[in-house]
Amino acid sequence: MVADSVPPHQAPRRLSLAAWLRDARVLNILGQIVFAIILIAAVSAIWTSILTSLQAKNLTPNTNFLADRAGFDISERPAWYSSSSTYAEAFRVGVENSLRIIGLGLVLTTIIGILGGIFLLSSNWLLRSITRVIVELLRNTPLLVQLIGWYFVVMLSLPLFQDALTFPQESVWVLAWRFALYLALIVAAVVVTRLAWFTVKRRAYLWAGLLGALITVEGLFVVVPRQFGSLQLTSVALWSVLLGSALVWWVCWRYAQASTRWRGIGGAIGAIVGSLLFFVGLLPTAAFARFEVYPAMILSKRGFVIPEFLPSTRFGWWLAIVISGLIAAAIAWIVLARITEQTGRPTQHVLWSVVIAVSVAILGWVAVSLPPPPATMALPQKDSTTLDMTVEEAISAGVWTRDAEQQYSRWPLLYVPPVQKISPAGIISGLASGTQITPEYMALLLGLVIYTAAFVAEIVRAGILAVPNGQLEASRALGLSTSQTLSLIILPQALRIIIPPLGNQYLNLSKNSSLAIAVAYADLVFVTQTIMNQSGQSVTGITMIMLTYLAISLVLAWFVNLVNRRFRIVTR
Amino acid sequence: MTTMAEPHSQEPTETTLLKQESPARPPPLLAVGPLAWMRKNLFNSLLDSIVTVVSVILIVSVLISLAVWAVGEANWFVVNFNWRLLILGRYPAESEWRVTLLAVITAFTIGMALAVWSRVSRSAVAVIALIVVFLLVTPPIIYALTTLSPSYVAAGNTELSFGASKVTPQPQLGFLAKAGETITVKVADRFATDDMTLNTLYGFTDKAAGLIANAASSRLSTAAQLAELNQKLENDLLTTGQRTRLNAQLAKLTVPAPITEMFSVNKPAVQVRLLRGSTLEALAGSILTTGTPSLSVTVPADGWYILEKILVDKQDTGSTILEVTGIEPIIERNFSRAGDLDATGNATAAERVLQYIRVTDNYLTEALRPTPDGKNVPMAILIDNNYRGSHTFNDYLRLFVAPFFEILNVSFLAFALAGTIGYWFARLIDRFIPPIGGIHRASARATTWMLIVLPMLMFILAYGIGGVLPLTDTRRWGGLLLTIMLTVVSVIASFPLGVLLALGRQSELPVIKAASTVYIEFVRGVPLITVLFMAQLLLPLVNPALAGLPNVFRAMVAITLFNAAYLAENIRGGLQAVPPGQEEAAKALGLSNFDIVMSITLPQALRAILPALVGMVISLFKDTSLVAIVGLLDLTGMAQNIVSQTEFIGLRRETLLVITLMYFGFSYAIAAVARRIEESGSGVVRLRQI
Repeated sequence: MVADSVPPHQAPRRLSLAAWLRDARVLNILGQIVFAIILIAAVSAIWTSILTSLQAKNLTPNTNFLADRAGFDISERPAWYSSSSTYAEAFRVGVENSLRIIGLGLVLTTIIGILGGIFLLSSNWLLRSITRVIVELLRNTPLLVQLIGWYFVVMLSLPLFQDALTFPQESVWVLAWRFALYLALIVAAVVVTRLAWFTVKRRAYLWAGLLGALITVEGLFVVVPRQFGSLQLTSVALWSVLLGSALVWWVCWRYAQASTRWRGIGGAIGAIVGSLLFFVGLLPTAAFARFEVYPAMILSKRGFVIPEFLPSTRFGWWLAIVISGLIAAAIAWIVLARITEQTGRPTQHVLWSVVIAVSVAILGWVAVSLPPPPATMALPQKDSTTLDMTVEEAISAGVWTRDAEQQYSRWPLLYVPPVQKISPAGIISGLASGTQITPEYMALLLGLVIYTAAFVAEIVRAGILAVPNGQLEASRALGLSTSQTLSLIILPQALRIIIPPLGNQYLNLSKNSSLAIAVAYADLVFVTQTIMNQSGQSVTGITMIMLTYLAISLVLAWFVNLVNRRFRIVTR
Repeated sequence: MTTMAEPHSQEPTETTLLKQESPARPPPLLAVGPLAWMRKNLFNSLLDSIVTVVSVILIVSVLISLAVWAVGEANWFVVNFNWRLLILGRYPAESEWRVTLLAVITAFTIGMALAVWSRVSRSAVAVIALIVVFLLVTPPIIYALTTLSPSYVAAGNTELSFGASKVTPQPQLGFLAKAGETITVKVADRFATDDMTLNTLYGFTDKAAGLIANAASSRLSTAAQLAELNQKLENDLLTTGQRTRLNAQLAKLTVPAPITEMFSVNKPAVQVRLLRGSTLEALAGSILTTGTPSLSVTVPADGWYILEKILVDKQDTGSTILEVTGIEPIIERNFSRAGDLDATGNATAAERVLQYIRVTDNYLTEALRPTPDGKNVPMAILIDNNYRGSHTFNDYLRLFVAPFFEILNVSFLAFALAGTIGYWFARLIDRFIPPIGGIHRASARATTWMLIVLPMLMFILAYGIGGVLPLTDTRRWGGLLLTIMLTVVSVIASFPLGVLLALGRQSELPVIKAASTVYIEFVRGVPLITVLFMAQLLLPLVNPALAGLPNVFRAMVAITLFNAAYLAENIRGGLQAVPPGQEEAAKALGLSNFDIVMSITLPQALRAILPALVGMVISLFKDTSLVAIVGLLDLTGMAQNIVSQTEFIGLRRETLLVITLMYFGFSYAIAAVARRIEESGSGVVRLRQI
């Protein structure tokens, strides 16, 4: 109607300033310009005043100080760092320490969180309730308090290094012949229970009987004699075992199908021969092997010590073989999966690729360690000359060091168990070898992981609950097994809901790792704070911390987005 | 069925079956009732049963060990004595009424809110009443029915030394007593016979008596260790290294002579006198040896008394342990009651007060310690006089539970009363004032206003206001008070900024959008602790005027700036949830942009994100603990500060447990309120209901 009265192309365009200023578009642009000017002015005013105050203290922000000597030691440091390293190197150590916590923390959080989520949905009321209580307690108390608790209460109440908890305990293990017999019996039972006649219930009876027999034998012939001196064989025991074996033999013969009868016979004969041998009296306590066991893990106030695995010169070869095996496994996976896709014929692609990867790794290990080490080796002597000598000579000369072992070992990887340093008086004083995980690292890791896992558990629970029940029923109706339902129906749909909030929790974990300062773990913030205190470069220091965390956050967010895209519903 | 049945034999049976009314049998045992529930929920399968059994064993063992620790081992003095520090920090005592008033007003408002938006069930009222009565009634009952286990003090001339510890028994011991209390002293002949009986000694001991008893148990444990080592060495399954180490350990161990003989315990006779602290007159005295009846004195007045215990034979090298009832440990507290802090944050010397408090019942005196020989008499001070052995349940109740309830009960009663009054006030104003505008209940209006005013009131009351209430020194803020202040102030202050940022990020104007986005994403990408550091370090540099800003306010600024970014994201989510038709309709009606935001979109958005906002408040409440790292004494910082004092060193578990429960209680309460709001239907649903 308006167009009828005043045609637009005929409208007089008067560009008066007032009209121009009333135009919403112009106003928007002007407003933004004003906003930008005010913002820039405010920021630059703040910046200038900070600069002036710092200049007054002779602390103009710069990055030159990074090349100066740091002069402080870091409790958690790689071998290359010393107090004569530069500030930049100290900062790098801090960043690496933070990344060590975040990396392992993310993995453990995911595992424990998923486990917690499943526990929260368990059909077992008790398990569900306990998990609920723990999750609520963790979610409703500050992480800082939890960290203090983990460090000052849990870690520092561990035993002293002298009375450390060790696993396995240092002791002598005796493998008696009867263990071989037990193994044979178990194998026989496995074979026998594969017979068609063995329903689930009967199989359970057989296993229960076997277990009962093992416990009886152990009790009668090993534990009791050890406590009360030797105990003579009673005919009742002998005949009950013989009769039991005969019973098994008869049962197998009577009920086994003709085609599998020989298996039953084999099992029964094995059981009888085993029993007879046992009662000859040689087997019960006769030692098959006797060896000393040393701790692989040591837990104490000073932290957790685990073995070291040192690569030898042959490690590269083995690594190459393992990688090629992995590639072969990947190819097998792809090819078999494609066959399934094209023909619909099921192939065991997971099984085959695992078998290929594992067997190539094992064969590679054997092949690489097959050539014997040279008879004599060029070893550096104490007077820094080199001399060709055999291992025995080197050991007697005291030059068979770990480096030499690493160089000439026939194994690709050297297993170095943790060894406690023991004084001649028999007092444990320190650590001779092994990888030490400090109590600070453990406390921070445990605190972060368990706190974040409580949130993840809740997310996983919500994600699984969000999958409509109809999906579950439909998959059951189609005849899918429980594991198939879980892996093909529930999880893909649940993951779609779980991943975005899970990513948020990952970001939280990485940012919360800055609380390391509460347990004195030398992370990014802790180290940079020392740097700032020493150099006075607080502005630069804080900027460095913030930029690092921003970078970590960005990388994590990018990664989560990538995964999210993979699981998103594909729409047209 | 029919094909299988033989017709001639089956027919008559079937007819009888059909005619008979089958008797109503009870359902199978495992089909209904608790057994069925257990079968379904606890023992559904083999794995389920194993899980159940393992969990039950775990829970029971954890609970038992926790109870054993809490009753027997834990030293809850640290909580009882620092309760005020944990709640109020070093808030000036003269201004304490302000915080009390604040708490009462809060309870009143909670009562009003309950009356308006919720119904208080009878059982809830009963539970609260029961708690109040329980708190009030229990301490007198405990004091009336139980007596503290006797304390033990040693008398002797010579220095006792065992291992690295050396103690000379004190000839005199100062203690506090109230009029009418009876003090009895006798030789502890129950423990004289041998080391085994000495080892069982429990109760408060002075250093010397503790040393004797500990020496006995140390000797016994050495003997046990020796036997264990010998047994281990008999085992042939030992590595060479192990054998060497065990032999080395064995070589180091020697079992000392029996302690009862070494210190000739309870052999010497003791001259015991009870002196009045103020006048040093002897109230009673006698010579005690094993078997003599106990010396018993009823105290004439409140105040200091001295127990004097000197061996009759000045040359005797033995020692005697005396069993005393009525002497309880004391703590010395040195603090400033009021006044300002000096530049370093310490109280000025002139304001210092010295208090002595009896730990078992909080009996407090400011009377100075008696000085019989020109110097302060040694007293049964807490750090010197430790409770030996595990507390008996009786002692646990008397030492920890009754005093703790006494601390709590009056304030709890006050809050309960204020809440009740608030509840009835809200119901009464509805009866007398008609609904405003015909819809809104007067009580709802009043409560809403109270809730809006409360945070500001909180700040004004706690901090003070120029001219009316004197300002308090923020360095004295601490404990739960500081935690709550930080949370409340930050939440309120971050709201305007958060709304602006959310609108900015939603805006179509690129510059504003970019600025908001950069701010939000930057803040969300860095940890709170760095923002706190930045506020501590950089705020003073921005402007000389800001350099004088107290630490607490710097932390508040940092938390506010940090929280605003998260709040903005929440609000943005809410804004996106508002249907676009709302805004279009508002535009069609000709509302201005400002009116659209303030009256149409923002209210709906805020209602939609109420649960998320509560979650944010909870996480902020927990995050305020980070200020402990920058040196503020909030609940966490105060706990850390307390356990670093000499008297309370090593009592971190107790303190941490208590503050954890406090944090948990508050967070869980906020979450419960949120659930309540969610269930009642926030936002649109509620509007429709009205």
